[in-house]
Amino acid sequence: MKRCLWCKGKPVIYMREHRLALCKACYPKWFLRMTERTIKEFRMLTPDDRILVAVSGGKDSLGLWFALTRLGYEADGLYVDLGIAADEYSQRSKEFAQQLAQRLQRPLHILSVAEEVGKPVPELARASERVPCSACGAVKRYLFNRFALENGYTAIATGHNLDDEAATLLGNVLRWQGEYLARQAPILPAKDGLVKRVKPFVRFTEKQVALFTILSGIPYIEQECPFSVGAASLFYKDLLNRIEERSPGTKWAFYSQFVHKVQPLLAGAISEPELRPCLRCGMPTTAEICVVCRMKTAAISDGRIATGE
Amino acid sequence: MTVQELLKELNLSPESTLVLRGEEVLTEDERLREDDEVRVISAISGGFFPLRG
Repeated sequence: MKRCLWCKGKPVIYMREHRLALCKACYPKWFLRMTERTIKEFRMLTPDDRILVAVSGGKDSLGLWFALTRLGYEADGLYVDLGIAADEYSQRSKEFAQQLAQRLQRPLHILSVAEEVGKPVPELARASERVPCSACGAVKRYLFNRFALENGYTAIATGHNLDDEAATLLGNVLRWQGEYLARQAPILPAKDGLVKRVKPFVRFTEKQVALFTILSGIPYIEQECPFSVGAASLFYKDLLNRIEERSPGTKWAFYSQFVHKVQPLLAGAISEPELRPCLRCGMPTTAEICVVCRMKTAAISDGRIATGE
Repeated sequence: MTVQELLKELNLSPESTLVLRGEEVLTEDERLREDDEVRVISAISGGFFPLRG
């Protein structure tokens, strides 16, 4: 049986891509070291940054908030209540986020989609004729950015991991989505009313993040969002993991080589759509009225239809 | 049976699955006893797939 490379203890994980077995005491140290290395490699954060962590109650975002705090960064949380009532999903997710906030003794801000946009995500999606994941993503990106701007945060950190990024990359490559590929990077610098966005966990697989969160004693919502059933991302992740089983290190090579070699070329060649302030709310958009303000309008007219006004 | 064999039987990828016996996290080569109770945690989460960065 393999032993922990650092202390010869009983391992909890063997990472074939690194040829590295680590025990439960050494693994969190390795994980924090790699997080810091990723932050430095991509120049994601400076000590002066005021960081807002997008906290969902899942393993990735809670693990990220904990890791950043352990590394000495001043990071607060923002939980966006999506209003998903099925299985009390949103309520339970929020409670996990609140538990960690208490442990870290850091502020957790909470915004509700129903209050901010007029309806919870499932109804908003229906009213605006979007699939729930698309409505949800647009609203979350908007609320995180607006909240960060209004409250002086200089960086939004999200818990996207290597599996998320590699699956998104595969999806974008299969359709040659040039504009999306040009913007797929572990750091998106601030510009035109958009706060800097960073993904310090891009180096880790989902399993590695889950293990860190569990070993750190952080309870998180294990249940999937009820709307994610059958999502394309799950299929792509499964495909990539089958490749990884045969050829360890492929996921990271696929993603990191793209980020280092291909994305800069695309970013230079494909001009980004120009951003201007939304005529209603002033937040950056490529249209005259931003997507969230349009959803607000749809939510209001849907309400009128529902109440017979 | 080893953890690896268990995951194979359950058709789960070792790349995305954690197996716990009580508080103890098990590696793939760990041998399971017949009366062991284990918890299998899928680390994969899906959902929002924006096809962008």
